[in-house]
Amino acid sequence: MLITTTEPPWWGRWREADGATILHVDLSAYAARDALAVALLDEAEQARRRRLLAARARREFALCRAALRVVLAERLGCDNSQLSFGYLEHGKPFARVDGRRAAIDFNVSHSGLHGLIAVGEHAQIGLDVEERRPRKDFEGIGSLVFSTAERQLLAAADDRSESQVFYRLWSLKEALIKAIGTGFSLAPTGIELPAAMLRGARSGEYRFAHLPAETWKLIDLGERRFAAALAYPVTLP
Amino acid sequence: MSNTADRLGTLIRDNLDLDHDPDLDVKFSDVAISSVEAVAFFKLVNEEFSLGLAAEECRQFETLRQLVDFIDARGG
Ligand SMILES: CC(C)(COP(=O)(O)OP(=O)(O)OC[C@H]1O[C@@H](n2cnc3c(N)ncnc32)[C@H](O)[C@@H]1OP(=O)(O)O)[C@@H](O)C(=O)NCCC(=O)NCCS
Repeated sequence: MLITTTEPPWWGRWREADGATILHVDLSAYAARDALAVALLDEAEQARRRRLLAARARREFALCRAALRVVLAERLGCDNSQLSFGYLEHGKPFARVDGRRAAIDFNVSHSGLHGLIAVGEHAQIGLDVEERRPRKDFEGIGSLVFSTAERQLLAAADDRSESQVFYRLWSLKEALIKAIGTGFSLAPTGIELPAAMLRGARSGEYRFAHLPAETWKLIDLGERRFAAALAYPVTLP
Repeated sequence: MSNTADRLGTLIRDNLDLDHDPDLDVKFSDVAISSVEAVAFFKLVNEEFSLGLAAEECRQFETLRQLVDFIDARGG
């Protein structure tokens, strides 16, 4: 199906979580949407999009980045053409208006048909979404990223709940390493998710071993369609 | 292609859902597989070549060629 001139936005407000607005981005394939999205990107972003090898990856990037641009421009009261993005050491993007870093934080995640964007005033937001794709190697993957207690939880899950448990743990952990901006260059097995969250609590607090003075809030946003999580600092030194 | 590159190519074709052939010099960041997929693949590479690397060590490789060179330097 090809929608033409009356294409509605492919994103919308999904939920509010403690000062952060989270938008859902529909990543279904529509040529007209892709074209509208690409038109909103600047030169650097268009070049990045062209480098991506898979059509799916190009679509995820363009649809999420274009939605992010519209939302940030609205919030910051600027024009799309004034916006650009910089990248921290491990690739975490931040926004610039007329070349100067903007006082707003955001994070983006995409998985399958679902993109999520968190925007807020918090200093370092981390967000992750994971469609629960069936796999045969959950425990094997878990051995490289989960702590001992998390691996035990996964091993205790029966066949029906294994993917729920795996993607929940994964998204919680990835939200934390995306909040701090390191991605997987920070040893993921060394991150022990809050014990209460392993028992099912929907939110908790976390301290990175190398940053003992900072407390991070972790929220489980998982729902029927996907696992998802949000992390941000509640105290900064 | 070296023997190591061949073995990696087979691992990729058998396990990753890519709609293009693996290229030794394309950056992993431009292949843009999901992080779950990346760690799952890294686990297979670890097993195939008995590397014993941790998840955080995979970020040192930006391309397949760098991974091939690392494996070959370790004696395959
Ligand atoms: C951050 C990281 C964890 C993202 O993983 P992911 O599950 O593939 O992707 P998500 O959809 O959740 O997030 C991607 C978005 O996060 C943002 N992002 C990128 N790097 C980030 C970082 N270091 N911290 C926070 N956010 C980051 C970007 O906005 C990106 O989307 P965009 O490129 O469309 O703008 C990734 O940098 C990483 O560490 N990947 C490990 C896999 C890998 O690269 N392996 C190499 C071969 S073994």
